[in-house]
Amino acid sequence: MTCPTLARTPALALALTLLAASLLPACGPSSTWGDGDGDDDGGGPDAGPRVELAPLRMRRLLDRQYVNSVRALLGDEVAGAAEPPENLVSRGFESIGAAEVAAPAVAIKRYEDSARAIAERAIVDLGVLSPYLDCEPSGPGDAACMETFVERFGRRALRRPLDQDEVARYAALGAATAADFDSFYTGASYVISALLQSPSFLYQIETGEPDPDDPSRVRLTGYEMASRLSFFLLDTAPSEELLDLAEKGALADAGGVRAAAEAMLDGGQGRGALEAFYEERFRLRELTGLSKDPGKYPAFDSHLAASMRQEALELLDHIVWDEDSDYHELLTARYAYVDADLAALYGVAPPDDPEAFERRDLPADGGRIGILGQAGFLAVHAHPGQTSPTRRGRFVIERLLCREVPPPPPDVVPKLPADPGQPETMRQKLGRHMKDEACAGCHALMDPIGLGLEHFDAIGGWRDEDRGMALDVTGEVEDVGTFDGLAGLAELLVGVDEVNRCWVENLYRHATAHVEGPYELPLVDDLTGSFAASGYRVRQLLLDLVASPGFRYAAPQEEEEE
Amino acid sequence: MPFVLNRRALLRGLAGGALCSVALPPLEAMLNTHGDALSGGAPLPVRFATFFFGNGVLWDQWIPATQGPGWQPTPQLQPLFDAEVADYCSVLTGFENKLEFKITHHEGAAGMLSGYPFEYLGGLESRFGGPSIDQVIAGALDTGHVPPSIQLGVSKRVSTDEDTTMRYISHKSTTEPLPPTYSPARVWNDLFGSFVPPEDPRGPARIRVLDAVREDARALERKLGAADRQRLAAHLEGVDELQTLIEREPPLCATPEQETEDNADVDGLEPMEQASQAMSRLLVYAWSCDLTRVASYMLTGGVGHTVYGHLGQTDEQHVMSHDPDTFRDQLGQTIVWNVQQFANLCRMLRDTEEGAGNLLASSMLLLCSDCGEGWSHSTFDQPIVVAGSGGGQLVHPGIHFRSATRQNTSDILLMLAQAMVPSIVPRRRRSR
Repeated sequence: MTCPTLARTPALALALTLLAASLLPACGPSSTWGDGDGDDDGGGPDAGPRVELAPLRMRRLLDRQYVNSVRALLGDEVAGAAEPPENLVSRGFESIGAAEVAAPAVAIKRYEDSARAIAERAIVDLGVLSPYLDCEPSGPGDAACMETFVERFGRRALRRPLDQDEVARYAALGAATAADFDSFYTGASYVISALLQSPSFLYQIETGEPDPDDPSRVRLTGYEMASRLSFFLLDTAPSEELLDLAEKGALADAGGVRAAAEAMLDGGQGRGALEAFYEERFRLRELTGLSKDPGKYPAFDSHLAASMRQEALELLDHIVWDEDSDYHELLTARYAYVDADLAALYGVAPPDDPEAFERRDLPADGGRIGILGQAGFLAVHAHPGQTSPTRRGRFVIERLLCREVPPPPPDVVPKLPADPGQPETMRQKLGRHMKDEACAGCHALMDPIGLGLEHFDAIGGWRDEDRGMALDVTGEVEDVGTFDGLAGLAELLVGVDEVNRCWVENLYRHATAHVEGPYELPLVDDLTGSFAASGYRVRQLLLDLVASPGFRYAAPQEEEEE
Repeated sequence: MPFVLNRRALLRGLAGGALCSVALPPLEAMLNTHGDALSGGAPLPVRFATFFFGNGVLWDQWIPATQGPGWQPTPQLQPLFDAEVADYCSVLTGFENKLEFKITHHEGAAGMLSGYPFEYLGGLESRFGGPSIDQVIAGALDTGHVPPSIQLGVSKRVSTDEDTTMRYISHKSTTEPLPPTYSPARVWNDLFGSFVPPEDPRGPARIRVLDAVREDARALERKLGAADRQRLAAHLEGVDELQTLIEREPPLCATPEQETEDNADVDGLEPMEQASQAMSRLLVYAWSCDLTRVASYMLTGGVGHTVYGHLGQTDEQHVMSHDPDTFRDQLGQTIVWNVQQFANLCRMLRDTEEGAGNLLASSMLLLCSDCGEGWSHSTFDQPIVVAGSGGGQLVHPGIHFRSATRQNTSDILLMLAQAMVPSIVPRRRRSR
């Protein structure tokens, strides 16, 4: 019996109850093998706990991957013309959206607009084409030169060598168009436009090859692995060097993949890609277009919002790339990277250059510490004119602990009980929620966490009191413990392995573009273990992840419609 | 109970699907049974649009006191009278969206817009369980219009962390959400800025490019599994549409002035007023030039994250809606503004002549939201207005009809779908 996936079977979806949905993952993909050691390629079916992998899915390039690919192919100037359609999210991840959601027709039109603009700009300064031309075209009809161009540009654009049919097809397109316009380079520009609209460019296509050690699973081919590595680690198309490694078969085993990845991450080249992942998971993009009540928060504007985003990225970069240190420092850093605007908000000395970000120790008597004390997090998870302990708590529950917040019970009426007619703190106000048992079910998960952050207002500024009343910032994380204030919460979370596993899980989902099935959990557990063994260094985690079976193998594609 | 519509909708997303329906209580009061639907001779084109705003209304300011024609204005429906389009509008109250599993807002949006239970993804996330009504109609209309439908959006403050149900209102299928375009300038360009003059050699060259893309796809298809083939097919449908756009003749109507409004924030505020007016203008042009027949118009997203700064407000509408005692007036203002935008669109359609009538007379618009009242998330009595006479198929003047039996909101969707494409039929749940 073929087990349908939740995603693709409206029949099932229609009939689903919540209960059924929660049972579905038991119906998993078919590749099964044991693997006692994440690095062991030869693990036979009996070598360890049962592991099942998900089938491969083609993944549409994310917008940034598209733009970076164009930059890698044709340089900065030409990449300025790239304007791909927006990413579509599924299951909370853009990368999963890229693997599950169909491209709407309007996206196809955007791709054409973008490809045409790129192609036009690519022949303004012919220097950008020189890597792909070893010939001086003798005229519009120089077929041999066109063919060379197709082969060379095509290999970079499609991230693999073109087959004979493809070379013939694109060379014919180039020749015919060159003749129409009486220009070799116009012909070449249409080749560029076509290759950038080819599904083989727009999607990471992965079909795999038989795994010689285990017929139940497939291994990514060398070129597929080159693309997967490069898009995951660098958010761009593989370099010539990486494609050469793929061609030589150097990416066929865990050691080769790890070595290639190490070289790719040298010099902090992985910053941009990790930042983009972090921005998505930590909701920093919400800072764009964030509204705050200008009467209450006159300091807040789009510049300050942009500074908040940058601050968060600076700390990540510092810990992961500059120091290569324990990532828990994200939660516990007693320093921050600030420009003049943020320095004013945090009450620290501004940098000489108001636009530059400089490291400042945070006031020792203040409670600000780590990412949960960053204004970006605090502002995104607040209302325009007041804090939202619920939103802040929900972030910790969902994004740091990877727990689910259940939907409210069906009979709940989410209206705050009558206002007492006198000022009250947020704790008192939400306390009215908690008196209603139906409300308390969910709010008891979230609010007691967020209430611990009440010293920070709706844009992340420090306040000693709430509407003139003293603050009680004690709180609780369910099943973990109680804490006092942000510093207490940060300390508590650092000691919770659930947080580490959540970080690994998020990265795994992002990297493999699917939500792991129950039989894949041992792989995530292994990675969580090796993350700990490395001293929680994210760079090591990236290397372990790309070398892990979950990144390099998959179940074969289902052949039939489900 | 949800219903399922057949023809392409069925082929696209529902083959083998579980199908269910209700016994159809009559909505005859809405239908013009006088047989004068085609009195002008040949049938006029009939267009359809959903018009959505987030977070419901306030019932005591919404529900008219009297039923039938000549219904009396209420504070939140007053804009329809101010714009002098109330005679084209039927207000339907007392209906119930029957989706049983509730996350809040999700069931309101999915049930009201599609009739299908959403697909629950865990936590507070879901996506549509089937196509939205605009896509059912766009798929079943066999008029060959390209694009078959357009998706317009005004407020960009939409829910971003509850998956696609709360983010988009148009869905071709569970895994094919159709995001709206928020920039009127871009919509203008899509509709009017991309005609290729017949003598331009770039036209045939672009077609040649698309041919190469299709050949690539064919070669690729053989290597892919079923799920990927499905997505590749959707991609190629987009390529076919693009080819039609490149090859088509410019419309006979005068090209409207280029739209420059890009709906970018100004000092942290959305230009709601300007964007809404521009989008409505563009929809009217798109219909009067007969470039497309179907549209979805998301004025604000479900849940209501919009801040109505242009009304002098500083709080998110959603936050206010959970404290209706404190924010009653402000909340009411946002709803009135929402209805004003709908009324304005209707007025512009009515003021556009077509044949002996006008565009509103030959259109059907469904105003709806993701809940009845925001603070309760109610799926009973969600705001529903059907505007336009649908080429004579709907009653004129409009009526207020209040269901005494908590009729299914899906009945309304079915009535509209059948008015557009009579061959659309409801299907019964297929046993599994």
